[in-house]
Amino acid sequence: MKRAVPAVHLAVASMLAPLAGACGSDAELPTGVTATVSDDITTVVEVRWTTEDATAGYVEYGLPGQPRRRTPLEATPGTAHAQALLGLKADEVYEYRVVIGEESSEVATVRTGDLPLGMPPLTTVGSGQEEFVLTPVLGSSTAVLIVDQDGEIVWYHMDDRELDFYRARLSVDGKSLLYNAASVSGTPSDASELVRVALDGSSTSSIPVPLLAHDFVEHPDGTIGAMVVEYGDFDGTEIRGDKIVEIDRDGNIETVWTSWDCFDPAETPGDDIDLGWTFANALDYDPEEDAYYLGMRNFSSIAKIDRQSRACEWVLGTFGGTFDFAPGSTRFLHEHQFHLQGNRIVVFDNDGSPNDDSRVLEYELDFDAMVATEVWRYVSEPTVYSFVLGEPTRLADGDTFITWSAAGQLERVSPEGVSRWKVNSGAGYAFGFSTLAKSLYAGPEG
Amino acid sequence: MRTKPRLVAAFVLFAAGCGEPAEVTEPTSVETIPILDEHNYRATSSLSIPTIETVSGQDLDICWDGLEKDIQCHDVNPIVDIDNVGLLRLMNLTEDDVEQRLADDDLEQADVDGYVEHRADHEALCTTLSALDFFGTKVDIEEEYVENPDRTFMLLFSTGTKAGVGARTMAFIKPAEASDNRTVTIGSGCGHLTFEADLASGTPLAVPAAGPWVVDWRGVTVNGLGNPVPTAGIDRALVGFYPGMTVADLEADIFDLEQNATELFEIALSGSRTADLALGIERDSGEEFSGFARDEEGVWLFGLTCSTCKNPAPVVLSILAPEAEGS
Repeated sequence: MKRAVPAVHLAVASMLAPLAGACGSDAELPTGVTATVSDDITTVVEVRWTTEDATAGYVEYGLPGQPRRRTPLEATPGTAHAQALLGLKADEVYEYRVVIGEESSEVATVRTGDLPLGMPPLTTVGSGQEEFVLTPVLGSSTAVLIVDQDGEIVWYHMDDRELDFYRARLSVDGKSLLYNAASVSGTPSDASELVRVALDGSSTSSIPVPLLAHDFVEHPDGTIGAMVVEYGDFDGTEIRGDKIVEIDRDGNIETVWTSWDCFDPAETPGDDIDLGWTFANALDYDPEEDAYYLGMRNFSSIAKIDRQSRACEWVLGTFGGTFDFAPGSTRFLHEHQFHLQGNRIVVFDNDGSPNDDSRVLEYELDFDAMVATEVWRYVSEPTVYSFVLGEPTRLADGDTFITWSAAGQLERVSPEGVSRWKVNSGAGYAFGFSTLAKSLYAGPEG
Repeated sequence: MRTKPRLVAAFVLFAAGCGEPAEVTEPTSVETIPILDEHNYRATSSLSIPTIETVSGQDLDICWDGLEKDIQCHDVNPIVDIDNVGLLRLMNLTEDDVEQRLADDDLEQADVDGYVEHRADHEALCTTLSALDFFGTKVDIEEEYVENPDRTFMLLFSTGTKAGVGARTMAFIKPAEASDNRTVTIGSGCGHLTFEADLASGTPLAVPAAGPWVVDWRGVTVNGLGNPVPTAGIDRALVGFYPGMTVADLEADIFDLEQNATELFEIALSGSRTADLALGIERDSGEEFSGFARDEEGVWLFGLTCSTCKNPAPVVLSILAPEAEGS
């Protein structure tokens, strides 16, 4: 496991906030307040201050005239303090102040830096998006981005290695962003890695995981579950299956499931065994069920896998399926990501439409009768085609957030199928999967 | 005109703080020369991409040995300069729509529903449709390269290998049931792009005789074509000197602005929206930019370019008006 390399760069020194005349107990007041734009991520600002007594504080910040945000209250009282301001737009003047109990520093300002070259041009229409969107960019540049509710890039990490990135997640400790650097189009890479970047840009580290595939999850205890390609023999021929591995905090890797645990290529060959047998392409984890959910492109199926027994409890789809599709319900083909909530599942259907466009299908699952009934579908207008990747997420308010990955489109859709908010990238820039976060400070639960 | 460092009053949202709001300065203390929309040039651009009808559902030979001029009428050595042949399949757009979107530089990824390519080996000047692929995925010619009113196919011949960047010329290929043509022959790109620039109607940008010359283009909202500024793509600033020439001369030979400058100072940009002209390096001599005083009369021009934009037109072109020494 590669170790973190501290890389704090103090770039543009902001003004000092004069505190003469501030009220309250002097020993608890913040002094020496500075704001520094990160060299590594020019939309991240680090605010530092000191206090004579040990205190715990936070920073309020925002654009003039806009609602303010705040950093989390420091967990441990101290006299030297530092907090990162996240979610800032590029090249904007922000107001901020340090708050300690009832006291605060005077308001000061800091201008964020410009975005670097290589960021995708984005156009946004509509409103109503409430979450930040974490997504990798593929194509003309390779990077990991966080896009805000206005469709603007507020965080980025450039990485010019000869690999692509498919998934980005906030870490469970709330301090980092994780992404997978891998190759799924063509030969899987022995040099693939899981990468951790501090949200304040101060460090990066990575864990080598050869043959990483499209997706990974992080468990509440910090264990990472990841999809990895696994080759096996079938009648004297090497075929490409998959496995799920778990990586602990020390970088130890353990296989917890393989394609051969649930399927036999003689009985369940899939539809393109020469390209890949199961060709897994999407992974979710439910800690309450202690179960993985695995999407397999060449099976056009999604399996629920018991983490302890390695058994497939059910399979929804074409090859290996244990559900029947109700009369009139459409099957999906070469699906990628999905979102299961209770007895409903939304599925990104890359190739099932007869019209060369991609779509999202929702099914109600009857676990007694083992029948899947289509209950909702959405096709973007104008239609788009994502030949690879793609992800739907059902939100608490009933909306569905859809990442039309290869088409470079992010979209929020109402239950009635009305497009509320849409971001499109310029030609040459595709997206990976997306993860949503209401706050950038609270980890995946944010 | 120069602006002093701005004073930003901080108030409104933080009224709950116990101290009075402070007036604070922004970090930058260097005086800047703001360039605004009124200083920028105006231009019109149109593309007329040739259409080559071919057989439908069958393989094609694609040859570019006749590609001796690009769309800006600059010389091309097809063996040396063409690194990539790309085929885009676009959905829901007519050929006219594609031409317009390329001219406006607003083609979106969602418009593209298929892409395959061929990396040139700098020896052969032909390939086949069946040889094009993308990470190993080839065109299913019988299924995908067929007559379809909802699909438009466009070949791109590029210098460099980034998809959609560095295009030297392009051609539509159109599968048609009635055609028996199996060969796509690419000729000169000269004439495909019509570009007319109006440098004269922009307000000349006053610059002091002595530095600093930090130009700030945050106030430029649209490029010369009237489209939003591609902020994330501006990667070069340049200052050119044209002795003995007039603004009309520059307009008349707009594709050769860089070639016609006797001195051209370049500044590589990494995403910033300001540039210090003193950091400009003359392309031939390697000398740093030291001022506008010259023995000859001539025109000074400031430009901003975007090498990754689909339209090669400069984002900003502004005539500079150096102040007299001592003013």
